[in-house]
Amino acid sequence: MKNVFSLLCLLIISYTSAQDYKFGKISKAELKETANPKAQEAHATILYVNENVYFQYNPSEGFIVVKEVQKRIKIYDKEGVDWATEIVPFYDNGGSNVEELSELKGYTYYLKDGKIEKDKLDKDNIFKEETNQYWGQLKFTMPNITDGCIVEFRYRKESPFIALDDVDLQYDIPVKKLEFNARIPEYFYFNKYFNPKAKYTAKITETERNRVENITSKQRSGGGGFNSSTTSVDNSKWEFHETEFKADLVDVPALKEEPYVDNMDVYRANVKWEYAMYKGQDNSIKKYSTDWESVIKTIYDNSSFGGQLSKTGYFEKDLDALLANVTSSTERISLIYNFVKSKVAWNEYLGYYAENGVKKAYKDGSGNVGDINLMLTAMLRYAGLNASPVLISTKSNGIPLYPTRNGFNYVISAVEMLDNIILLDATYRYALPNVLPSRAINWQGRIVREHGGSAWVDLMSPTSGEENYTLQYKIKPDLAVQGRVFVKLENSSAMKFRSKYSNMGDDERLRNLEQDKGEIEISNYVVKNEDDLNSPSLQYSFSYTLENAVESIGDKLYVSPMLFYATTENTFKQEKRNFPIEFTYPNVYNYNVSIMLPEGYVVESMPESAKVQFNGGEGMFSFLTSGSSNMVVLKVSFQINRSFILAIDYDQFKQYFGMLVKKETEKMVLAKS
Amino acid sequence: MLNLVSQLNLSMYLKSSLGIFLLCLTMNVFAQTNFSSNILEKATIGKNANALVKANDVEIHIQAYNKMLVKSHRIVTIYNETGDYKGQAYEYYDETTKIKTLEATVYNAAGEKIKRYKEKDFTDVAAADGISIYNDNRVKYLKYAAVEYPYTIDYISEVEHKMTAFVPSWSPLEDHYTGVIESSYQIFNETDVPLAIKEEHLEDYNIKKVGDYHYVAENLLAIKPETLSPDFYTYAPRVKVAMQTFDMKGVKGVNTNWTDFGKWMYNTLLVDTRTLPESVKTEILGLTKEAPTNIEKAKIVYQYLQQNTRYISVQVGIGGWKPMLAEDVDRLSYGDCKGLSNYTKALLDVVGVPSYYAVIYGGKNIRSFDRDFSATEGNHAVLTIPNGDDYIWLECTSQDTPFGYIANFTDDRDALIITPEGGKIIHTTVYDTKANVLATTADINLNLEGGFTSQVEMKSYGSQYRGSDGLEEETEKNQKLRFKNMWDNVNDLVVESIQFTNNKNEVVFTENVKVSAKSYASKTGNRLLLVPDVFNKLSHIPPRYSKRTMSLEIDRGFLDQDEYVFHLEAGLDVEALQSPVAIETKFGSYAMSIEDLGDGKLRYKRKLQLEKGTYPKEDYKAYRAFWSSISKHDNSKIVLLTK
Repeated sequence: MKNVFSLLCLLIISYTSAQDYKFGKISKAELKETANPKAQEAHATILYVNENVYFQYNPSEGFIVVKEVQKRIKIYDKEGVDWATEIVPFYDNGGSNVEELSELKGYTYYLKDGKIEKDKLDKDNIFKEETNQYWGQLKFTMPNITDGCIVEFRYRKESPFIALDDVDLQYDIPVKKLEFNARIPEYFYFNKYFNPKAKYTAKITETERNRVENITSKQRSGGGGFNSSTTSVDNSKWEFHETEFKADLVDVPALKEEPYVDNMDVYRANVKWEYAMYKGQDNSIKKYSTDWESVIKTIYDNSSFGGQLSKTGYFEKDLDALLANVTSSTERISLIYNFVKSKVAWNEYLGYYAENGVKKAYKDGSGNVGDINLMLTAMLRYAGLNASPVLISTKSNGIPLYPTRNGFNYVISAVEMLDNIILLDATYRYALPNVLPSRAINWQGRIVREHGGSAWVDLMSPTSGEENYTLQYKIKPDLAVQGRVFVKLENSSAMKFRSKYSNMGDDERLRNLEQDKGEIEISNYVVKNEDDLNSPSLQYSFSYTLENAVESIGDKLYVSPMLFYATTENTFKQEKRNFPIEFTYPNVYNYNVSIMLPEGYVVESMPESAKVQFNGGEGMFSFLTSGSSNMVVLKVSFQINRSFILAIDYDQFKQYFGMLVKKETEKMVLAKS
Repeated sequence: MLNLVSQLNLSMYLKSSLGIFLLCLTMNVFAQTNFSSNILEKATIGKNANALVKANDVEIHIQAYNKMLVKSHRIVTIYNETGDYKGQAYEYYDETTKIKTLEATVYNAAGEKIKRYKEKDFTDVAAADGISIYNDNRVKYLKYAAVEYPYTIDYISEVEHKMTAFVPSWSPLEDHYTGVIESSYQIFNETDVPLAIKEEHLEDYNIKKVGDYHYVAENLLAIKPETLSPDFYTYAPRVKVAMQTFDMKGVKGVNTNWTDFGKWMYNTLLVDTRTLPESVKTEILGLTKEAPTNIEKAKIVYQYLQQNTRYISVQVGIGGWKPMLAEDVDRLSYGDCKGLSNYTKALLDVVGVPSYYAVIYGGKNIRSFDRDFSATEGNHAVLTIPNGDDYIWLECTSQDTPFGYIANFTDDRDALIITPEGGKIIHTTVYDTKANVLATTADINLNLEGGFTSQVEMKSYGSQYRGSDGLEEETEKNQKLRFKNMWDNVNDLVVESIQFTNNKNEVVFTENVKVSAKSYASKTGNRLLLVPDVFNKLSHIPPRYSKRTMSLEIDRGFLDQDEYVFHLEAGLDVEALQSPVAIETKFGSYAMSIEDLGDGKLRYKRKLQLEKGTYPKEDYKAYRAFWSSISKHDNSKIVLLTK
């Protein structure tokens, strides 16, 4: 007996000295901590976060999904105060099936004269706002934030939808302890998917357990004429299995932002859940997704997708007029593509399902991604082209590596020809055939063909952006430079030019063009093909005079031969990288420079010719000089043949780019003849 | 292109429709000239415009001191995406505002109706401003996604206001890049409340006053912004109106001049907002007990504020004008500019230091209150402490600004201070050229390869003071990146060590940095070209304007002083050195010199001083020439020979 007692004591002692994560059990040690010992530079740290998900049963509504969240965040200094504001989104389309938030409670803890004090989160500081017609958000800021304080809050979300939210296993600040728990009844089969691009990896365990629900059903009987009615109550037990998913992580490193990454979420460790199958008590089975073909079938069978593709009546007359006498496939594609772009504007909502329905979108002139690109596909098919929708996941939605419906959130259109495929996105006015807006370029998409069958399509631009510069100039006796420039832009380069300049007036364009080109005066600035949004090519040219580009020291002249087109700065300044550099579009830059020397001068020295490859052809730089008595000719070419550079290649890439900068800034020296 | 098409359509229509439809046709043509866009307009008034206001007619009916009906009818042609916002088909509302009419019709370039929108088709959302955690306004706006440009919006609204503290003023030119064919403004004062009115720059735009409180503007050309020019409001036409008796959320106010407007603010918005819990009073009295002077006490209070509160924008309360109660700020430990300024005043009251709440325009651009016209103005609140004949201004929303430091945000402008006796317009602290110093010294060891190692020291003062930018709080990685970006003329710069010393008392920030670069001076044959201005090279020349239209305005002066000593590795010999340069202009001066100290040592000196001032537009060219010559000299090279 004595032994048992001392054992109990021991247990209690070890329990209290351990970290206590119960709501409200903040320790002095936690409050006294001035920096995260494992990540000194962190301005704030999540000491504890717990997400608890379960399916609650009630006889009238069946199962609802409950998520309980508790967070304890330490704020070390004022740079960390943003973490005292929390935003909780919830689905609310104004209808009856909406998500509901409740039981929000929060306190700020701090030390005063060595004692723990706390301040409550007031109702006045909790704000419910609508984000758009589908989503609302609850926003609150914890009171009395001082250096070293701890905020702790919890809330509960109830959802009538059989779906599980994505679970973040990594935050922008370090996490000391993260617990996740989900218990899912045997009737609902969920697939779980980890983000394969994340650097941090976590484990989730699965165990089976029993669950018993007491079902009470009431039945009225009798009550005809003169007998009073009786109510019989029937209590029965309902037993079933649940799968418990659990994660228990300690010291999760922060996901730190890096330049040249479009969206850091692509690299965040997280878990996505796909509702795959429902198995009824009678063992009847309803599949939602299991493999790609069934995912695609589920999407296709929905009237907001497949149904939209078969509607043609609303546009037939207009399209017949548009396509009369046009037989060439490329011309038909181009006409239809432009027609949709000029007919329906994107309302900035994503989604592969049509939001308003293609017919209404056509009539109103506005629609979401699904409305627009499904309409485009239907029209292309109507015109006899082999067109199909391609399901895509935008960068913020992650990569569709596993068969899931939620994995996609965007759709474009593809036309399959004999030997090539043309990708089209009509939601962006400056996009071109096979040049998609950057939001739609993420790994690969799934093409869904008309008579069943689906396959992966590479979304990376098959055609590189191209910028060709021809720079001609002469150095005048007064050392001013005078010359002309011809530029030809192709594909994504043309798209970027149009989106940047189309809203600028002539004057502003000129100033933009003159910017960072030194003491320059530009004239005769002419742009061709800008308004023809169908053309993948655009040209411009200008004349210029440039002062201070030639420096005379002693009796020699020093000139940077590429003038204002020389890259003078290595933009890659970081010492190391964790994530790839994203370029999105592969690109080729060519410069043809010809220089007429001033009378009475000869070349004393020229930068040497050079040719360098990066990583077996992922990049290429060449710098070739040649010349005659009074002319110097320079051919410079720089290519990036991939849409991204891997982090492991960063150091090499930085050096490669540094070499380019060094070469382009080298001077040509002229001496008196 | 689109314009051409619309003209073409119109003429085809004319041709195909014959005499019998003549009547119809004339009406049609009339309608089309109203809602179609035409080439002539785009080439004349619409030149440089992103949007063209074809008509904007505003009628204000003042029905009582607390009731005002605003009717507007607006027809705007939008030329491109940037111009979309000029449709302005939206109305804000809250419990004091009632939208009575709201409708819009959109037309295409040819003037054909695309769609008509009724009030229920407008999107109704909380007016989140992206900054505030909360504000209590809502807005109904037309979410129109344009497929093609130009298009024209015809918008009609009628809104009843109970709050009359803000009578909409009339700014017919509206904004940059906006052309105006016709704009009118008329006030019907159906009460005996006197109106104060002020006309600004109307004659410069040939704007007519056609009756009592009735103005018409016609054919205003779009204006493009220019760099270093006066703010739009200083030259744009405007009519400002204020009611001498008004209502702000149920509180009656009187405004005949700044004195009574200030008195009203004091008595209704500020009084009774400064109660503090006893514990705080005791604490602050204890903290300041030993302080000998009012200024010393104020410094302690300011430090207390900075340590215990932070800034969060909360736009609630009387029209966003009444501060949060001091006790709420104390309890929550946050507030917006009004709440924090008022809280600081409450603390100063406790320790017996007089101070005044002040309303001001905050921003890098200097904007003053109108001394001659009292009305609800400003976008920021600060606190001021009288100090003899002078005033000390306190920015209460920052946790690291030194006491009394207001450069680059609220300096050198007229602000309204609220005293119990009424409002007064006072000019804030001016930071003089010679006090705004950045002094850089460096020892630079240059090797045969053109690389260097260097120890640099920078001291910043006045408006150039860098101690309130939160640099010290940044991660080491970001601190390093800042130097790499600041000295982007040095490729592959390595930052080896960084040390900051922030003397908040004297407002001096010192940065000691050790840096190196593998190759800096570029090699050509057996020469090394060394640009001696390593650490303060001018990188940007103001843009060229083929025709400058606005005067040149420089808001703040400054002085940069650099002195670097180069230690050349043995084997490097000087082939050519630049001669000294000294440039004097009315805008400021520049001097540069290099001295051979012998023993392989060179001393480079640079001094750049720019004065605050306003100059006629003709001077812009000379000003730009001054900068290009600085850029030229900053880029000039020393030629070294390697053996």
